[in-house]
Amino acid sequence: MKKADNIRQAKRQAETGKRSFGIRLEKDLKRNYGAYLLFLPVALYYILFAYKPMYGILVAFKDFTPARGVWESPWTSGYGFGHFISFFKSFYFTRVLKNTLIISFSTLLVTFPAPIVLALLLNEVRGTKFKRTIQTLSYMPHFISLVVICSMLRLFVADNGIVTGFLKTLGIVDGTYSLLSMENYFVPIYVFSGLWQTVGWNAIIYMSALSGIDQGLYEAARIDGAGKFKQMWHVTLPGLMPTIVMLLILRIGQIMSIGHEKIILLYNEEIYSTADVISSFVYRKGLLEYNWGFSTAVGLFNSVINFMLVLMANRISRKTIDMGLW
Amino acid sequence: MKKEIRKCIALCIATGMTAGLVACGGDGGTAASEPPGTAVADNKENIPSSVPGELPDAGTSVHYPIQGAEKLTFGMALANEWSDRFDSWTDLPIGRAVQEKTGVELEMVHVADNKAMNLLLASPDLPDIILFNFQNNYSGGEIKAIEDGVIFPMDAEFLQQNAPDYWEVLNSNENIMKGSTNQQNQVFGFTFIMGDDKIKTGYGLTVRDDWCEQLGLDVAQIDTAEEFHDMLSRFKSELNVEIPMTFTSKNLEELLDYGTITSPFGLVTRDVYQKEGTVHIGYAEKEYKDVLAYLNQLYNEGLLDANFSTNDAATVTANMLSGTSGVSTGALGGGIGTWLQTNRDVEGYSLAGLHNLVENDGDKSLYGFYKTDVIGKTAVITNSCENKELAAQFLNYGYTDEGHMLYVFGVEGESYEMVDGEPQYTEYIMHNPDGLTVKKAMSEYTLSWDNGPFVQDLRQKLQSASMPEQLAAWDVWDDTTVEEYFLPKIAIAQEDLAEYSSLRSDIKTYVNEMTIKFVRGTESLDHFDEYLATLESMGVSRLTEIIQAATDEYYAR
Repeated sequence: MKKADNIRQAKRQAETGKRSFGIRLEKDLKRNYGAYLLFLPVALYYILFAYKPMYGILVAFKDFTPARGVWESPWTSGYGFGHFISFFKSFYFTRVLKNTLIISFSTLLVTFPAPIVLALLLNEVRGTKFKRTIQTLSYMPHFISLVVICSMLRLFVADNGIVTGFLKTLGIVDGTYSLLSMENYFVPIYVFSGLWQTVGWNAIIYMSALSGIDQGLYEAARIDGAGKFKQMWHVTLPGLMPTIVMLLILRIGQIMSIGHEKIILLYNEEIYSTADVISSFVYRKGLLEYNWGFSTAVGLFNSVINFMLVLMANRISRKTIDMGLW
Repeated sequence: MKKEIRKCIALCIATGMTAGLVACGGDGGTAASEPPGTAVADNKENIPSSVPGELPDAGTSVHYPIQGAEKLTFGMALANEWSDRFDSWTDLPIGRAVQEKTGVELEMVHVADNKAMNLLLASPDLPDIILFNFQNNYSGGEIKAIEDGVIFPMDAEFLQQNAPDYWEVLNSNENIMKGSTNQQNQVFGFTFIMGDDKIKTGYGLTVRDDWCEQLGLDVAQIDTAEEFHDMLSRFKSELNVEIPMTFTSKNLEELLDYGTITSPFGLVTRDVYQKEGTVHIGYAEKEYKDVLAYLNQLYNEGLLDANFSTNDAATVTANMLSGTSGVSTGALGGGIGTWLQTNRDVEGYSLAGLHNLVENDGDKSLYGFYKTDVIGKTAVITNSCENKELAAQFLNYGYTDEGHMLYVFGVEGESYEMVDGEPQYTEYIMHNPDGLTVKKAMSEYTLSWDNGPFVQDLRQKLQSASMPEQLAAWDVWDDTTVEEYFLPKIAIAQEDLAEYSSLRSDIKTYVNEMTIKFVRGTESLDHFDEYLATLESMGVSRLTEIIQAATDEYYAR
C-alpha cells in the first residue's frame, strides 16, 4: 500500500514538473471547452451558494446587528471569541453536548445498520410483488413532511395513543400522561421514529449496490458449496462494503449536527434534560432572541468538529480496510 | 480595534444627529443636551422665550392636510388580519383615509413578518418610517436601534416643532415620557400608548359558571386557595369532570408570572417586581415553594391536567368547549371571549371570570396582569429619511383628536357612527356581512385592533369585548394592587445588555423546567433549596443587580 502511494505521488510530481498549472489549464480549456462549459453552471452554483456566503462566518466573531451589517458590526470581547467563550461557559453547555452525542450515537447505532439488514433481507425475497410492496411501504414515511410526522408521533405517544396503549398492556407505563413528558422516553421515541422515517429510503441505495454485484460470484460460491448465509457473508457483504463505508463516513460527519426541527417539534420544557441538543439550544438563543452571532459561532464550532470527525474516520478506514472517501 | 470602531460609530451617529438638527432649522446642538423634562413641563408658553424669534411656528399645531407634502415610504409587516384580502396597507380604507387626511402620500414597504423586518433593517436604504415592535423583536429594543444607527432619535425641540400633539401626550404622564425615551432623554419614536389604566388589564382564570351554580357555589365568593381547591375537587367528585383544570405550560407561566395564583402564599409574582424601588425576583424567593407545593397537591389529586407540559392551546380550547374541563385561564378576547362565542348555541354553557387567588376572603390580589403605559409597536423615523420633519408631522396626526378617531374607530359612517355623542362601531365591524371576525373587519378601518402611533381608547376595548360575561370578568380580574409592584418600562444599560439577555434566558429556561417538574412531582420539593442554590450559581443576584440599576436609572431620569 505504501508503495502504491509512492508511485502515485511520483507520477503526480512528474506531471506537475513538466508544465506549470496555468499552461496546462489553458491547453485543457482549449481542448475540452465543451466539458468546461457544461461544468460552468455547477461551478457557479458552488461559488455563489457555498463559497460566497462563507464570509458570513465572520458573524461568529462579531456582535452582529443587521443594521450595521457584517463588516460594520463590532468584534466581540475576548479577541472576537466572545460567543465561543460564552457558549463553553454556559450553564447548559455540558448538557446539550451530552444530549447531542447520546442522541446522535444512538441514532447511528440503530438507523445505520437497519437499512443494510432490510436490503439484505429483501434481496433474498423471491416474490417480486411482495418485495415491491414491502419496499414501497417502508419508504413511504420518507415522503411525509416532518411536521406531520411529529404531530402523528405526538398522537401515538399521547396518554391515549397507540404506542402508550401498547406499553400499558405490557405493564411498562401506567398511561396517564404522554410519553413525551417523561425524560427517559425521549431518546427512544426520537431514534425509533427516525428508523421508521428513514429505513426504507436508505435501503434503496443498498438495493442498487446489490444489483451491481456480479451474479457469477454467487454461482461460483454455490459451486464451492456455500449456503445462503455463506453467500451473503462472503459475496454480498463484501460487495456492499464500499457503499457502507462511504455512507458511514458521511454519517460520522453529521454527528454534531442533529437538526433542530424534529427536536423542537417533539420536546417540551419538562424534558429538556434529555431532549435539548445543541441545535435546539442555538435555535432558542439565536433565532428567538435574535442573537445571530452566537448561533453562528456554535454552528461553526459544530462544523469544525464534524469536519475533524470525517477526516479521522476517513483516515482510520484508509488505514484499516484501505477504503475511504478520498 | 474594537474601540476604534466604536468611536467611529459614535462619531457617525453624532454627525447624523447634528445633520438632522441642522436640517430642522433650529439652533440644534444646545437643545439636544437639554433634558426634555425641564424644557417640557410648561412647553407651550415657555418655548418662545427660550428660543426667541427665530422659530416662528414653535409650539403651534400642525395643519392637516399638510400642503405640498412629499411622498414618504412606510415599512410595515403584513398582518394576517387583512393580507388575505389586500395587497397593501394603503389599499385599506384606513390607509387611504390616513393619506387623504394628512395630505402625505405613502409608499408601503411590506415585509412578511418580524424576521423579515430584521432583514430589512440590514439593508442600507431603509423606509422613511417603520412600524415595528423593537421591544420584542430587536435585541436591545429601540434604544439599541438608535445606537445601531437605525432610528433617528428626536429631541424636545424637534418634537415641539413638528409633533406638538405627540409632545403634549408625552408630557401628560411621566411614565409615558420615560417609556418613549432612552437614557439620554431622546424620544425614539411615536409610541403606542395605553390611554386608560383599565386597558392594561384583562387576563385571569375562567370557570364554568353553570357548573358552579349546579353545585350551589357562588363564583363571586371563590377567591382563596382553599375555595379554589374545593371547587375543583367538587367538579371532579360530584360532576365527574375528567380534567377539572386544563392549561398549557405557557398558561402555567402566565398564571405564575401574572401573579394570578401566587398571592395566597405571600408571593407577589414569580416574575420580576419592585417594592418601593427595590427589585425582587419572585422565582428566587422562598415563598415560591409554597405556591409549587399547592400546585403539586392539586396535581396529585388529579385536579390539574396531567398532560399540561405537552398540551397545546387547541387542546385547552377543546377541553373547555367539550365539557372535559371546567377551569382554564386566558385573556379577555382569546380565552373567555372565543369560548363563549364558539359555544353560544350550547344551552346552559356559561363562563365567568374568577378572582385572582388571595389569602383572605375579599382581599385584593397582590399582583395581576398589567401592561406598561407604552407597549408594542413603535413608529420610528429612520436615519435614511430625508424629510424627517415631514415624517414627524405625519406621525403626529395619530395624537390629534381627529387622528385619534381615525386610528381607533376608522371612518365615520363606514366603520363607526356617533350615537349620543359617543362613537359606536357599525354592523360592518361587529357583525360583518361577509362573515369577517371583528378583528379582521377592524383591521380594514383602524389600527386599534393592533398597535400604532396613537393613544389607545378604552371604548375600543369595551366595544370589542362586548359580551356581558367578558365585561364582568374584566372587572373581577382587575381587582388587584398590581400598580404598587409593577416594574415600569425600564431600559437596561447598553453595556449590560448582552449579559442581561444571556442570564435572563438561561435562568428562565431553568426556572420553567424546574417548575414543571416540581408541579408534576418528578422533582421532589425537598430539593427546593438546591434549586435556589443553582439559581444563585447561575447568577440570579447579578441579574437582580442589573435590573436594579436600570430601575434606579429610570426613577432618577
